[in-house]
Amino acid sequence: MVNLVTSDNESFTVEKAVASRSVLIKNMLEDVGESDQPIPLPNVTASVLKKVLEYCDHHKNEPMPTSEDLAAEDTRKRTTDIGEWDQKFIQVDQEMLFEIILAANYLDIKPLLDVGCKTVANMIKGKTPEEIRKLFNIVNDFTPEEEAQIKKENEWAEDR
Amino acid sequence: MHLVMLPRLMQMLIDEIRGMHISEQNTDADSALLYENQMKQDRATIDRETKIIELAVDAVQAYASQLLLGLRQCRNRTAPIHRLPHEILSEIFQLADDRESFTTMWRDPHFHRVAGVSRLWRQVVRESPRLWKRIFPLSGALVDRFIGQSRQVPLEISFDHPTKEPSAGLLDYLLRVGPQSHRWRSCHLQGTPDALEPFLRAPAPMLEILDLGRSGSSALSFSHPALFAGHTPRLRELSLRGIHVPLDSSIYAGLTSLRLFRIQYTQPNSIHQLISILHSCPLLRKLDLSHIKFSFPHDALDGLPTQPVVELRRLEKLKFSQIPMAWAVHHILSRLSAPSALELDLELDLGQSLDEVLPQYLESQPYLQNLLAMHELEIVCRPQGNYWCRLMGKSSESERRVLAADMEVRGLQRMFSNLGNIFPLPLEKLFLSGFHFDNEGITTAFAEFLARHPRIKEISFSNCSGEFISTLKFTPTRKLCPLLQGLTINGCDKLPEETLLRLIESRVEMDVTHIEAAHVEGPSRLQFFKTSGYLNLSAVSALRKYLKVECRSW
Repeated sequence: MVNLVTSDNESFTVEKAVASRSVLIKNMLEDVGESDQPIPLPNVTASVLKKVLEYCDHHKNEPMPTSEDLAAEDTRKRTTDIGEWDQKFIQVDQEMLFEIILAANYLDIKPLLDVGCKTVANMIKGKTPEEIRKLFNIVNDFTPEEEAQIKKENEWAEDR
Repeated sequence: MHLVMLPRLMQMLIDEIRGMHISEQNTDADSALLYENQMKQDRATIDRETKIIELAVDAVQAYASQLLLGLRQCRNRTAPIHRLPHEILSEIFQLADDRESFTTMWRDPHFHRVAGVSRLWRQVVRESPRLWKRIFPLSGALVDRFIGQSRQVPLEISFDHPTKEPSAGLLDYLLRVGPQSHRWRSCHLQGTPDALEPFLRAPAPMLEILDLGRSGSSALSFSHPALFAGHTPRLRELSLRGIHVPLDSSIYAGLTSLRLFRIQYTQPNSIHQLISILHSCPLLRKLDLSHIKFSFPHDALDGLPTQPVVELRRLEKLKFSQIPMAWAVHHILSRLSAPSALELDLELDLGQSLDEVLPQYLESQPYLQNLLAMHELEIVCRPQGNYWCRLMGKSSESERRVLAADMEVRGLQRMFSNLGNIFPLPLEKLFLSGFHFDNEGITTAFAEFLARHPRIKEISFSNCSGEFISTLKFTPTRKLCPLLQGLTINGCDKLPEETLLRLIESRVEMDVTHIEAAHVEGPSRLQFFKTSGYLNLSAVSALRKYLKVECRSW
């Protein structure tokens, strides 16, 4: 078992197979060897780690992505299809969604990072800039000159 | 909104601006002295005051805009999505790029849309070269912009324009992307060979995927000179549609996917060269040969040396579609050794039968191990076009499909007569659909087929004739499918209830001692019967005396 300590000082004891879905933790465990020392995760809060561990537990028996898989991803046009379980798992509010993505990035859990990024990508697809702003609570911060330039570029793109 | 301070502030602004314009005012005043008409003087004064106030308003607006801009940027920094690092935002933008073809591309300038959301997003888009790597046929200047913005990232080139003549658009596109061939990672082009050829001469050291399609003349092939100066060391996926590249070209080496479509080969050694190509691609996963013509007689192969069998351990999908020379498919298949996970997809040409293309099984040399793993076979007949039928075979391992074959129904009798003879099939489940024609030849061949597959435990008939189903009746002289446990009959209205009852009785009351010991692996009498809206209640009650009956109403 592995003991993980979050930024808000909460402890989680999990199976090694679950914790090792994180390449960061896996490498730490390999470096430290057999030890009872808790692993501090200063960039992850308890509520986020709980979700991350839920994902890791569900996928603990799946093969880890190889460097070959990652290289192939770079070559191909990637889809934004998400598995059924993962879709349900990632149905969280935006705050939590971005926290999960940040945690997956920090902990180096590529498949979870993919699920998060694909979810956000699917939210963006087919939307106008105004719709995207509304969705993510962003305001238009362009100067009038920049607005004019954007308009010109869009006309340029559509002029074939 | 009434602001108490506004008049005072405004007056202060006006005074400040008037002070800044004092010299101009004096000059104007001197000029004004030249005018004797008081009205003109008054108008000049008013105009001057108006201008000063306009300047004050502009200054307020500019100042307020600057303040608002700063505030909006601060506010955007608090948006949850802006907590994501730029590289993750860039990754998301790339995933959200749903351009699949040029037709959707130019109507949907994805990155311009994303870049129009906020200053930060615009900055991320501009600073992410990989977002610009997919170059579709946009207006020429935009192609240049994509090339420039993508910096040194490998490019994805695509111009799949189905026109008969080389369009000005294609030539303009190729003139812009052609000099970048050293950066091409994938290339999908469709055009006339004459139009494409000049741009496919330079080496393409990064190229991994190449898809060339011919448009224009209906002639089947075109001999293309050495592509990319013979330098494509990373090429893994190759698709040639109507474009003939000599089979001794180095472009075919080391592939994981090869598709040849609508190409004519005239040299008798073409098939040998094709097999040599397969030898040079030990990691091949997909091979698709569709509408290929070998325009030389079969006996032209006689004088050529025998080639060793090619072992393709990673082959996942092997497709032959509409190849008029069955002997060519047979020859290629007889030189391949493929794993049990292979899906063999055969679209037979008119008049061809499965046994013509499948090589004879040899225990010493099992070529197609996928067929040896086929536990389940479904045959569907449909009155469509030439009245075709489709065979689908699955292996017991995770129900993986190992065979799909389309053929004319007239080849069915021959197929039943030979299937199992050419290749032993360990069939346990059989699904038949649409066998509602009364053809004694096919029925007899079907009975022979069943006799060759004594391990069948489950059979399903859907819309089949009574003659066909009655083949299963167990008699002292005909003991087909001795291990049959399950029978499903749907939509076979022409089978009289009485006949069905006798058939089932024969299978539940059969004397197991008549069955050869080798076949007895468990219960050999019929265990269950399933049907849909076919039998009346009394018949169902009668059957339930013998076995488990599941009767679903429509």
